[in-house]
Amino acid sequence: MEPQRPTTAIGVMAALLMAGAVVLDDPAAALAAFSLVLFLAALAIRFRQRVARIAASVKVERVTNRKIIPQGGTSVILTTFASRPEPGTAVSVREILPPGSSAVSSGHVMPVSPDGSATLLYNLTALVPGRLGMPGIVLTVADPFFSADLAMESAPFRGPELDVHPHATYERSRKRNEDATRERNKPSVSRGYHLRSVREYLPGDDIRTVDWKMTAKYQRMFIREFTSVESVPPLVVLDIPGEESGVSDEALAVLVNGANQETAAAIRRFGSVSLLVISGINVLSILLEERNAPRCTGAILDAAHPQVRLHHAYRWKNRAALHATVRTCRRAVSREEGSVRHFHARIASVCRRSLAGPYVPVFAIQVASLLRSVHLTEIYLYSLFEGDDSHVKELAAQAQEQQIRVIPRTVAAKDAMTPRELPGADPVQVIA
Amino acid sequence: MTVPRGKALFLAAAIGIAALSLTGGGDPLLRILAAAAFAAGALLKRGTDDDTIFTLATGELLVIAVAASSFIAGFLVQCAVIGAALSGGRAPAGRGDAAIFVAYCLIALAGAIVLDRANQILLPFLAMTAIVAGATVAVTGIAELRERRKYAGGGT
Repeated sequence: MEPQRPTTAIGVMAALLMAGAVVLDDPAAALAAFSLVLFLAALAIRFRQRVARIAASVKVERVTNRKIIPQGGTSVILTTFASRPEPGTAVSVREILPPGSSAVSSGHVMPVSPDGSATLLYNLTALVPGRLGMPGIVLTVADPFFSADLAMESAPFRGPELDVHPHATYERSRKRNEDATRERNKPSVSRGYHLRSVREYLPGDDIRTVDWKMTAKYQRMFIREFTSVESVPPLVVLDIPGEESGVSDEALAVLVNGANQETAAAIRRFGSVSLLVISGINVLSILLEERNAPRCTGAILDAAHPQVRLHHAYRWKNRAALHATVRTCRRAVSREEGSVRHFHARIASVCRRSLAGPYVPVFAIQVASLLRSVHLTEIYLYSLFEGDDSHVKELAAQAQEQQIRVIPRTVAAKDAMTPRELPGADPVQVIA
Repeated sequence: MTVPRGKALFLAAAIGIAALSLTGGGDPLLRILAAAAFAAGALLKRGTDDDTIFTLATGELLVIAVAASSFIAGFLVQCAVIGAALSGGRAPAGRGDAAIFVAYCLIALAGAIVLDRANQILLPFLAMTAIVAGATVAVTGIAELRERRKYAGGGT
């Protein structure tokens, strides 16, 4: 608790009057001096009560945009502060920065508005790896006579924790075939600090990862394996319309521009992106885990015109869809009479004949092969959904089987029918 | 220039008590000058924390001047001066302030009675001042310690 200027002045007055009372032996000066001391005591007790009331009413909510960041990376912290205002007091709030971090902006200190609320928005840069917990806040309360700081670090004011992974540690490429298992021969670019396992040393392992304590205990070389931050870049699929569809140049330009922006954004966020350019069931271009944005742009621009489709799907249905049609028609046959019944029976017969054959289109095989070779969680599908969209449905069905989210996007067209539903995918988003 | 109503009332009360004390003997000029200084100090400057300092500094002169002739009148003027200082701030005085003012008046009354009745001034004055200062430091210190412990890290 620190005295302010008026308090110091009153203290000086009290001291002078006290000296006068002692020297002059004057009861009037003694009364004045005692009254001032008593006044200061009353002010101090009133101030402590105010601080206690404000502190008891404090509520803090803190959110971060990223919970896992690399060493040296930045996370945006948004802290919302609320308290019950006390008349005659000025309150400010300051974030306590965790050790091994720094705030890029000065937004972690903020005066509280008269309604008792404050919003702190700042960038936190993690300088050391490990778990970085937000320790809490420092509440500063001041009235005209006193000021005090109160560190609030208990559970409601702490957190969340940031997981800071160390700088990339490059590891040597290695190949292992043991215990009937096969490991992908791909160099690990970075490793984290969480311990995944401890295993015996194999030729080619990095000597830096040797666990010397285990090695000394068992007289055999053991190494530590670490987990690492995983980046799962999305697949961007661009479906170019056929030459016969007659779409406008503007709509095609918006579609191509949207796909190009998506690939650039994915490279910025994830470091790489996979790109599949198709026109119907004709595959025009495939780029897997591409890190070079201009190459993606080149591949997109090369195909950015209505394509002559060499192969057509002719509203082809995959086997699951055929089975579903047969089931629907069977129910209709048992329910309907006359020509309607005959129609459904005919459809069911055609579908059964199609199912009897082993025919699987090449496009389905290509999509299956692509989805197997790349680890995916999201597919951004850019299509005008003009004419036959059986290839798009096939893609969505295979993605659904592999639990990959499909986000279809299209262009707002005046005269074209835009599908609102693509089975197994998110609702179709319309881009401007 | 608008004066807070509470402050105006306490100001009027202090000057009224000082005027009444003029009949009690002593040097009336000193009291009149002190009352004028208090009125000027309380009304002259407004809007900053210096208001409180001026009000108290000039008010204590009036207290000493009045208490020299009548100790009880001096005590009453002292209460009015403190009331003017408490109600003249930028923030409106709340119910907590009123309770603190009443407690202040009661303790000050006890101190004034002790100083008035004691055979000597120095010893009771120093004892009362030490008790008040020590009690304040203890109460605020314990409260601060409890708050720091309550909000310290590691708790749930």
